[in-house]
Amino acid sequence: MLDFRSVSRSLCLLTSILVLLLSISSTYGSAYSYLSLEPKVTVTSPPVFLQAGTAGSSVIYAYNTSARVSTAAPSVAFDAVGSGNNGGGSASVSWSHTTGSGPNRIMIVGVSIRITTVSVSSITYGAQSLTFIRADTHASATIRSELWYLIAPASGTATVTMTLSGTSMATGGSCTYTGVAQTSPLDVNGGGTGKSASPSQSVTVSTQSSWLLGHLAISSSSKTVSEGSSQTMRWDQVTTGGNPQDRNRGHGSDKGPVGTGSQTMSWTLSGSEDWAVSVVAFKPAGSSNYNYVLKIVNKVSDSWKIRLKAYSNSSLSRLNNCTIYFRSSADGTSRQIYIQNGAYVNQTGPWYDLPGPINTERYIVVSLQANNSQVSYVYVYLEILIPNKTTYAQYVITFEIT
Amino acid sequence: MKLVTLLLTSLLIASASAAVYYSLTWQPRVTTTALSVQFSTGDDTPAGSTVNPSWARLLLKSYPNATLTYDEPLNITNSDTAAHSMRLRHVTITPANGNADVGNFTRIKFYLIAQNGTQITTFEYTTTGNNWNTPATTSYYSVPASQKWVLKAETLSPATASTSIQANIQISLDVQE
Repeated sequence: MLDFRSVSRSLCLLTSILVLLLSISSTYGSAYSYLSLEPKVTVTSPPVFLQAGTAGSSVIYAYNTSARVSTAAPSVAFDAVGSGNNGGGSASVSWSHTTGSGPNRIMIVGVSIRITTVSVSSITYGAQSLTFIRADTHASATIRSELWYLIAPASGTATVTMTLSGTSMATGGSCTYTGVAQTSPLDVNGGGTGKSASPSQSVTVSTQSSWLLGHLAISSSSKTVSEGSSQTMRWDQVTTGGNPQDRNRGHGSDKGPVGTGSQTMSWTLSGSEDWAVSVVAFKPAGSSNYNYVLKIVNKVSDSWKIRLKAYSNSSLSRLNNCTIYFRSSADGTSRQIYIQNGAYVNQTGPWYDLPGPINTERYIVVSLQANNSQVSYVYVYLEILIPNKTTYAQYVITFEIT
Repeated sequence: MKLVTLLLTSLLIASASAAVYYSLTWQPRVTTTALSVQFSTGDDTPAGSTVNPSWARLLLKSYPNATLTYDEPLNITNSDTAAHSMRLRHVTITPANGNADVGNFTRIKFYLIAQNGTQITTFEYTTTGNNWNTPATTSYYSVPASQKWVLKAETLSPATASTSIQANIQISLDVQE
């Protein structure tokens, strides 16, 4: 006989144990606590404003929390060329030249003279007189090269008149450039002569982003000329009197911008010939200063720390100098962003005080120089920090540098 | 069949009878102890915020057209001698989807930063028009014993935002004890 009471008791006990074990197993390792985080975010008017400055061109966007600043960096650029020759020979050469209106102009003139006892007495551009740079005469007295220059040639069209000391077949060419230093514009010059199919001349340049103009004079018209590395031909003139061997050629080329150190102008001729080469390097104008492009205005009584941090850019390599700094009469200047020769020296500036009271101002100043006339962008955060905290706002400022 | 019926009936009778029960005594001891993982104020806890060990209300600002970052508004500390896992879970947010006020926010983003500065995860609210894009519940992350982690916050409103608009968020920090 089965003891039903005993069976049921056992079943009941077993069930209880199972339930208990199940309960323990499901509970063990899955106890939780729930912490409640309740952020409340309020849209608030920013405490610091950006406002347009007095230099460059600035656009301020909504709530004065971002801005775009447009500035121009000076750089050397080719402007115009003119050239001429006196055919079978005379005591002068003249031609027309049209100079543009760009800033910081210079004119360089190269002269080729077949009779080496003759030299240039004077060169004028309209009413302006040019200044002699150098002359190079071939040792066999077959060809002579001269270079002259003029700071700030008048814009517009005028005649370049080259007066010789005597009669000779001669050629001349003039180039104008913008963005050139107006005080002591010449960095270095050099020259040489020879007989070969590969005339060249090196000079040691000391100013970054200078340009070179090389003038090649050849004692015949029969040889053609091809350019050396990175050079651009600006003029090529030949005289027309007599036999080709009695004529002369004047060939002007430039190259730029170039770095410091030894720089060479070179050409390849279609055959060996007597030649004289004159080279001049001229310097870019100094940096343009924009004082000031933006101002930072404290709209509350609290004090802040501010700094600039560049976070992106394009075409940085053309910037010889891009310095962005804070200025105030109270705290002086603080260099924040510094780009030199296409690379960051400072990408993040040191903290600078923006104290209360309301409407305290600090200024953003820019100094620029470039080596060509492209467009660069430097994207910068204006960071505004609560003193002794690590809470900060980031305003976006875009610097467009043409 | 009779035997089965008899067995079931007996079982029913036996289980219904007080005489067949054992009395199992369970005596739970409930002790009040501190939470293993707690909130605490950070170096950047904004003024007016309330931070309790298990509950924190952070009063954050959002600037139109400018990113505002709170590097250390709230600390999360594991004061236990053992590691604990935790996760972030979205609970609620107002204004609700469809409300035009939602469009006054571009981003409300939280970063979970370990004691050594490593970013563990992010928990980001964004908007599309007048609707929120709420974050998915994060994975569980183990906070080593006696370590302090940081909840970093970042806010951004569009240039068209109106001031004084508020967003109230409730997030649960689920901690495995």
